[in-house]
Amino acid sequence: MVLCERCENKEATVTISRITNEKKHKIHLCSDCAAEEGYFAWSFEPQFPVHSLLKSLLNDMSGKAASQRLTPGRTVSSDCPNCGRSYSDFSRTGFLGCGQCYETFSDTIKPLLRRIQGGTVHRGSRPGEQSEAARSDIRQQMSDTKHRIKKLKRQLKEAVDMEEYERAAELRDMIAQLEGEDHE
Amino acid sequence: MSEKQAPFAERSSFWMRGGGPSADVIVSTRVRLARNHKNVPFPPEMAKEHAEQVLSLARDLNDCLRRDSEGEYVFDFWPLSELDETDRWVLVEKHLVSPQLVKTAALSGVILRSDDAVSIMINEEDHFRIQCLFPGLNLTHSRELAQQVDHILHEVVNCAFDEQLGYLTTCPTNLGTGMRSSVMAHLPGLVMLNRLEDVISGLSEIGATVRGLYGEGTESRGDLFQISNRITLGQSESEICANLQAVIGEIVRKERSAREEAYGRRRDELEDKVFRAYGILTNARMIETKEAMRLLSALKLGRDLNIVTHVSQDLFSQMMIRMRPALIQSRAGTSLDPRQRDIRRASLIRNALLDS
Repeated sequence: MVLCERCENKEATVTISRITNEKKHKIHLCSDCAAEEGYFAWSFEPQFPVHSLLKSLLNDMSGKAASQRLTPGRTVSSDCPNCGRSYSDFSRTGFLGCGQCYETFSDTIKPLLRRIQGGTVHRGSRPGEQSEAARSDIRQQMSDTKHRIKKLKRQLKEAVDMEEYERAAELRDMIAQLEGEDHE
Repeated sequence: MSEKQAPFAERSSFWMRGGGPSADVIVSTRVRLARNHKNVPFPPEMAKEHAEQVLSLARDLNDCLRRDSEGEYVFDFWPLSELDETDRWVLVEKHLVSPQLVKTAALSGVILRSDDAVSIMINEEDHFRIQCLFPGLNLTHSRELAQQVDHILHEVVNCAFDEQLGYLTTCPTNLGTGMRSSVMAHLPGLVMLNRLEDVISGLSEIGATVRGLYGEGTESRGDLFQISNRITLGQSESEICANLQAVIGEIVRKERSAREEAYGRRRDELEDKVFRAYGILTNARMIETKEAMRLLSALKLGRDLNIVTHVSQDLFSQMMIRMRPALIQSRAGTSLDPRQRDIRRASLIRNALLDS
C-alpha cells in the first residue's frame, strides 16, 4: 500500500501531476487530501518544500564535516533554552518554536537562508516606522515604475529605428500598462 | 448547521466582484504579512494559554481596527471555535482562511473587514497573518493596505523582530519582511499552445514561483495558476512587489498574445468550445465542480476574447467560489449529498448566467 504523501496516514488513491516552476512532478494522495489540495490548498498559499531542502542541506553539511574530518559532537542538537523546541522537530518540519530559536539553531539556519533567500540582511520595514516606511515605499515604487517606463521608451525608439515592429508593439503595450498602473 | 447563517457566507468579497487592472488574465491579488508576538512561543510550541493570550490580543486588534476605520468599514473577530464546520469551510472556499486554520479550529480565529479585503488569520503557522485581497492585478494597493493594518497591529502586539533578520517567522521561508505577494492568473492561452513551461522556466532564479495543476487536471481546475514571490529576506517590500510586477506583466503579455494566436489559428474550434460551455452552463440540471470549473474557464476566455459579450464581468470569480460545497450547503441551510449539490450548483450557475 502506498501511503498518502500529505497526511502519511491513509492509502494514496489519487495521483496528481503538479508543476512548480519548470519542474513537473507527481504526488500520491488519499482522496481526502486530494480534494483539499485540488480545490483549496494550491490556490491559497505556496508551501515551499523547506524540510526537503533542510534535509539535503543537513546531508551536505554532515558530508562536509566527514570529509574535512571535523570532530563531531557540536551542540547543534541541543534544545532551544527559551521554548524547548528540539533540533529534530525543527529539522523534521522546518518550523521554529520562538524568536530565540533563530539563535539556537543558527548554524543550520544561516546556510539555509543563503539557499532559500535573496540575502541574509533584512532591508524591509521595521516596527514603529511602518507608516514612514509605507510612504517611502510608495515613492520608491513610483520612481521604480517611472524609471522602467523611461527605459522601455528608450527600447521602443530603438525597436522602431530597427523596424522591429512586432517588438515595438509589445513594448508599447508594456508602457501603456505601466503608465496605467502608475496613475492608479 | 447553525441556525443563523454567518454574515460572511452570502456577502460578495471585494475581490469576487471581478475587474481591476489586467482582469482578463489576473483574477485576484493577495499580499500577506506574517507576524509573531515577541514573548509568546510560535504556534508549533504554543500551549493552550499562549494561544488564548494571542486570541485575546486579536480582540484588542479588532477594536483598534474598528476605531481606526471610523465607521467606514466594520471589522469582526471570529474565533473558529464559535463557528460550525460549514461556516469554517465557507471561509476556506472564499480564500479568506487556509484549510490549516480550520484544522486547529479550537484555538484559532480570523478578523474580517466587511468587504473581506482584509482577513487576519490568528494562530495559523504564525500568530498573525494579515492578508489583503483585491480583484485584478493590484500589488501596490494590496501591499499598502497590508502595511496600514500592520501599523495598527504594532499598537497592540510587541512583534518578534531582529535587526539583522527582520520579522521572525515560524518558517525561515517567510523571514524578513514576512511578506508573500501572489496573484491568481488565468492562463488558458498558454495551456492551449503548450507554452506554459517555456514561459515559467527560469522564474525561480529571479525570485518568483508559479504553481498550479498541470496536465490532464489543468482544465478542470480552470487553467488557474498562482504566481508569487519566493524571497522574503534581503529585499524591501516595494522591491519584492516591483520585481513580481515585472514578471507578471511579462506573463500577462505572453498570455494575451497566445490567446490571439490560438484564436487566429483555430477560430472555429475555439468558438465551438466557448459556445458549448455557454450551452451546457445555461442548460445543465446537474453539474460537478470539476466540469463547471472547466466550462467557466472556457466561458471566461470567450468573454475576454469578445466571443460572447452578454456574460457579466464578475461571473467567473463569483461562480468559482459560490459553487463550492460548503457555500452551496450554507445557502441551502442544510447538509446536502454530492448529488443534491450537483443539482443546486447547476441551478446556481444557470440563474447567474440568465441574469447577466
